[in-house]
Formats: sequence, C-alpha cells, structure tokens
Amino acid sequence: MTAPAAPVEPLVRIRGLTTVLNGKTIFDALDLDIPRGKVTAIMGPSGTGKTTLLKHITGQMRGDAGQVRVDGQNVPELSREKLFELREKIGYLFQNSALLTDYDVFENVAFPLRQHTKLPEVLIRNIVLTKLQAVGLRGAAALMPAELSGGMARRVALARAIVFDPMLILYDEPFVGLDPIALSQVLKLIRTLNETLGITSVLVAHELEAIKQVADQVYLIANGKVVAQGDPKTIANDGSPWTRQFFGGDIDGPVPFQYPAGDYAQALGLTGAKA
Amino acid sequence: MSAQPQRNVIANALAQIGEAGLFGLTLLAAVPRSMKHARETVRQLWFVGAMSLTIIMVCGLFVGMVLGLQLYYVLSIFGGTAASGTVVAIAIYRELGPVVTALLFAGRAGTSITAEIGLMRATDQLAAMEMMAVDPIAYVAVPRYLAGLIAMPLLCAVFCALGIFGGHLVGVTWLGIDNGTFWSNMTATVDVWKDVVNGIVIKSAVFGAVVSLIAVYQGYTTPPTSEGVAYATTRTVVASSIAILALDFVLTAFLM
Amino acid sequence: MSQRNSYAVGTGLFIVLGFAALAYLATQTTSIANTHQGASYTVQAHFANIGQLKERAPVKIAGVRVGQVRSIVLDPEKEAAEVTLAIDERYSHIPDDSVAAIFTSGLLGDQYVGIQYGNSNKDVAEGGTLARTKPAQQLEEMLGKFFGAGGVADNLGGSYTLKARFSNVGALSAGAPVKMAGVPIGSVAAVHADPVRLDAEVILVIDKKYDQIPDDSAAAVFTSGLIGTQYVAIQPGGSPEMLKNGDEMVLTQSAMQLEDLIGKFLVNGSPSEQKDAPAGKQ
Repeated sequence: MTAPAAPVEPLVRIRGLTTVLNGKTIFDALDLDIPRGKVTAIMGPSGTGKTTLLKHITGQMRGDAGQVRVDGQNVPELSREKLFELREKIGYLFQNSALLTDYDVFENVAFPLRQHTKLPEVLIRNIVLTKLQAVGLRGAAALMPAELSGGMARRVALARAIVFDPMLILYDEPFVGLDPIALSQVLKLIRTLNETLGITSVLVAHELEAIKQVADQVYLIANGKVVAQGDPKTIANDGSPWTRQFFGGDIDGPVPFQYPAGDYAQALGLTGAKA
Repeated sequence: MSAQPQRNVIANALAQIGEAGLFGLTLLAAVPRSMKHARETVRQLWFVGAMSLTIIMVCGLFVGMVLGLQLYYVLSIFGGTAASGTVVAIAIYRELGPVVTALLFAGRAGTSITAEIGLMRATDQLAAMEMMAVDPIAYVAVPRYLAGLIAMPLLCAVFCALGIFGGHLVGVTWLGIDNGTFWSNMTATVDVWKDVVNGIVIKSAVFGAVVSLIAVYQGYTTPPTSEGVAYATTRTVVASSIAILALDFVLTAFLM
Repeated sequence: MSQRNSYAVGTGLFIVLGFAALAYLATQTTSIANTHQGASYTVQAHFANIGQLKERAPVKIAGVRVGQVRSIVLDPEKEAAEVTLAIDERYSHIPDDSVAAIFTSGLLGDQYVGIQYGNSNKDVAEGGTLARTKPAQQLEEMLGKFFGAGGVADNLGGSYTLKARFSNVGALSAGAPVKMAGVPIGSVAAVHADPVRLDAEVILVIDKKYDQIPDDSAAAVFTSGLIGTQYVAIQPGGSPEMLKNGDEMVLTQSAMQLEDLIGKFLVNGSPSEQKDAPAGKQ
C-alpha cells in the first residue's frame, strides 16, 4: 500500500506511523501523502482516528513510531519553538469552531495577528476585515461568539485560520451540523481558498456527496491503515469490501455491528449456569 | 483521574497534591513566556480582583460589625470594652482578614477560573490556541494565576479596612465606646510587622498563590465534559478551603 | 480596544484602592500612627517601679493623651527606672512640681503615665526632670485593697492593731482579710517569724468600728474553700474585757495543711490525730 510517486515532494508525507492509545492500536504503520495545492479528503468509520491523524500532523500528538514530515520537517522531532513556527503556517478548523468566547468576532480573527506580530492597528483592522469579507461576515465583526449560528461560527473560525495565509489548512469535520445553505457556503469557501490562494487543504469528513464536490483525492482509513485511495468519484466503486460497506452504508461487514465482546449466551448466563 | 477505583483516599489526595505541585512548577517556568501577555494578566486582574471587590467589602463590613458586637458583650463582663478596638484589629489582621478573604476568593474567583478554563478545554479553545502557536499555559493559565496572586493581598487589605470600619461603627457609633480610646488602644498595641504585614501581606499572598494554583490546576486538568467541569468547580472550593485552613495553622505557627 | 482600556483603568483603580487600604491600615491603625506626631519636647521622670509600662505607652494629662513614653532605661546609681516622656509641644507648660504617676487603664488595660499638675509658676524645661513621681501600683496590692478590707479601714480613718502568734500560718500573707462571722473587719498588716520563740507573729489591723472584741477571743487561719486564699478568722469569746490597741491574742489556731486535711478525710486519722476524730462510716 505505497503512495503513488509524486513529481514534487508532497507537503505532508507520513511513513510507518504507529500509535497506540490506552492499549488500542490507532495507527498500524500508516503511510499517507498529501500533495501540495490539492484538496485531500480523509474518510473512515467513526473511531478510526481521523482527527487523531490531524493532531499528528500539527504535532499536538506524537506517534510511537514512524515519521510525519510536513514541508520537509519531521514533526515529532521538532522543538517547541520550531513546532510553533510551523503551526503559524498551518490553519486548523475545529469541529466545534473553538472561538474564544471572551472576545468578539473581530478580536477572534485578530487574535493570531496580535499574538505574533506588532502590526499597527490600522493594518490589523484591514487584514481582519478582508478575511471577514472573504467569509461574508464583515458585518458580524462586533458580535460575540455566543450570538453566532453554527455555520457562522465555522466561517469565523475559517477566517481566523486563514488570517496568516497559511500553506496548509486542516478541516476537522467541517460539514457536521450545517443546513444545506451553510453547507454550500462552506464548500464554496474551501474550493475558493484552494483555487485562488493555492492553499493545500485536508478535510476529515463523512459526507461523500460533499466531498465529491471539493476533494481531488480521498483516503479511506480503517483498522489503522489506508484501505482505499483515489479519485472521489471512482473510489466508491473500487470493489473492496471496505469501500462497499462504507459508501454503501451496510450495517455489517469488515466493520462489525457488534463492538467486540465475549460470548452472548454466556453473558446472559444461559450456558454459564449449566456448566 | 486514575483508572483504579480501589486506590485509597490518602494516596489519591497525595497524588493530587503532587500533580498540582508539578503543575505549579510548570506555571512558574512559563512566567517569563507570559510576560508578553501582560495585557491578559491585567484583564484577568479585573475579573479576578476588581469583580470580587463587592462581596469582599460587604463581607468585611459584616465580619467587623459582628466582631464589634460580640467583643462588646464579652469585654463588658470584664469592664474591658476599651480593648475592643485592639481585639477587632488584631483578630481581623491576623486571622479573619486573610482566611475569610481567601475563602470568599476561592468561592468567587477560584470557581470562575476553574469553570472558565474547564470550558475552554471542553470547547477546544485551548487546543485552538495551541494550533495558533499560542501557548495556553502562558496565555491562559499563568495570567489567571498571577492575577490571583496579586489580587489576594489587595482584596485582603480592603476586607480588613472595611472590617475595622464595621467594628468601629458598632463599637463606637452604636454602643458608645469612646472614639479616642478605641483608636489609641488599637494604635498602641497593633504592630506593623507582626500584625499587618504578616497577616495581610504574607498570609494572604500565600493563600492567593495556593487558591489560584488549585483553581487553575483543576480547570486545566478537568475532563472536557460538563460533568467534569462541575466536579472540578466543586473540588476547587473543597480543596481550597482545606488548604487555606491547614496552611493557616502552619503559617500562624511560623509567623508567631 | 476601548474595551481593553476600560479593563486597564478598572484594574488600575482596583490596585490603587488595595494599596491605599493597605497603606492606611499600616500607618493609621498600628503603632506607627503614634511615632509620627508633631514636634515634641522631652521630660524625664524616675520611677521606683514601672510595673508593666512599655515604650510608646501613652502620656496623659487629665485623661487626655498628650504624648508617649519614648524610652525606659534603668539608672543603676539610683536603682530607679529613668523614663523619657515625649510630650506634644502644645502642652509644654507643665509646672515643675507636677507629679508623674503610672496608672493602669481599667483592671486589665495597659499602663500609662499620668501627669497631675502642680502649683509652681515655673515650667519644667526641655530635657528637665519631674522630681515627684508615684510608682506603678502592683496588681497584688490593688487586689489586697479590694478584697481585704484594709483599704476600707484606712479610708474610714481609724484602726487599731492586734498581735497573734501562730505555730503555722500556712500561706497567709500581708493584705489577707481578717474576718469575724465571715465579715471582713480588717486585714493582715504583716507576717514575720519570731527568731526567739520560733513561731509566726502576725500583725492584724482592725477597723475602729469593731473595738468590742473580747480578750479571750480566738484567732484562726482558715482557707476559703479548698484552694482559696487564706484569711484570719476571729471567734469571739465571752470575757467582759475587750482587746485594745497593741494587745496580743492568746488563743490561736494554726493553719491546716492541705495534706492534713486530706489525711483526715481519707485515712480517718493520722498518727498525729486522736482517735476520737469524727468517726468514719467503716
């Protein structure tokens, strides 16, 4: 299961990543490449560690073995300072937006600028308003996060993630809980950011229809490995049992309906009582 | 926090104290890094300190008034009501001021620090800061800790001032102890170093450091659920109260 | 941003308020408040006994605070305490025959120096000395006055003395009350051992009102309660002759030792006791 040879070095190159959390193997020698300037979607059944994978890319978590190279640097080996330098070039969109509830929308978007630069107030204002305009929320600059709908909060978080014009944006479940209008808005934004600014994007999501509209490439992860990869329009038909179950929505298959457990009859005391 | 349900209570408590202590060292190590977030410290000083002023002032006044009333009753048995100024001042400076302020501070500011940090963790705000290359220890934890450390002695001073005023109000204005006697006995006996500095400055700074540490630690390590935040808030009050009263004994023994 | 500034202003106010409270408490409610007062002039006074007087104790004239005790040192030559008083300059006209006395505020209060004006036309000079002083009253003496009617007798302007000899006075001391029928009628003026007869001679001062005491009356040293103080009780006799000033009481009963008492209770008779002592219930 090796990644196809890319003409240029991919932005993210993961080799042999192995992670064990609380005795459960999350990744088992995972190999994965994320090409520059493309939108890559990572899919998989719940609990397979898609969000964990994003955390490995940003260095929030470290694997037990293997390499995670981002823009040529091996993330697990970076010092805290180097890691922070790298993170300034990565935007991350949290599943629940994670806006700072203390600050209004404007200050939320301005937060990374204020923390890492000493730009004059006028310039900060211009940058923030530009980004807010890009997500269509310039008028909401004075609102507090509690006053925003889920879709608006996610767009504000997106504006905050792109305020430094990053090379890479990681979207963690960006489509969850959005109504169809908000979903279309977010989809359009992801596509626009990728096309106009050339930002490499990584999406973690379940919604195949949405992914078909934005993604250039899809990885399907299960049991700690990449079980399928390819073009989103064709991946559903590659014939493997994993893709058949996942995209077909079958109840049982390689991913069992039952969580691993002991013998049912014994648990009910039917056989155990007689023995 | 531990997966072993059978671990005994004492070992658990010791483990918590140890973890909190280590967390305290982490905080101290992050103090230089948080210097660039001085604005945040000022902002927290507003929430932690200035917003606690009302409760501190009201409680200080009533504590002083009760003290004045009780002392008048007891001292009048011995014909010693003239000493009530002295006793009010010494009781407030040495014990009631630092201890009651610290208990109120734990209830008012400590819980809000714990709940705020706990909710920030639960809603990924801390992780978001990490991702924006902002160290949450330096940006969230240390400013709140420092704010608590600075605010406690100031709040204690205000508490004591209102307490003395309350004692004076009851003793002199209502019960008719001579004003001059009240003050001259007080000024003749109360010592700056042994009473005011030891009580208001040293004791309350220690209490402030401990209560803030407990509050920040509980918030920072809470499980990211609403239940976890609720428990952490409760633990902040319980642990702070025990720590304040136990430390008070130790400090009193040392500072006597 | 204006939001940010309002925090800064509010926080600044809070800090200023806190420090102001601290500064006020530290300077106005403590002994520091006493050290900074206007220009003062100093006067010295020698006391035979200063009791519990301490530095910074108040100096009062007519009960009004006019200054404080600056220093207390022992003058080895005179065997007296030299007390330096710092007095506010406004009250610098103190007659040089004024009396400096050490008083106690209330029963439990601190001690202070009180100055009672004299009649002299000359004021005591800066650095001068108040010659007339009264030392501190010891609490024991005061208590003796309160409880042992000696002071009462003095105040009524008439008393007479009696002598009594005891083989053992126990813990009887000067100032102890003398009672008849349980009522204080005088006090013990002195207790001293007689080197020749090897017993204790006790001088009793009795109020003049009670001059009808028969000369065959008995004096006994009793203890009020089990652990109370001891006193002299007079049990009147039946003689027509009365005791006069300087007389000696012949019939006396010495103090019971606690050990003897307990022995009587518990052992029902010790070697020194007779067998007809109150019979036990054995």
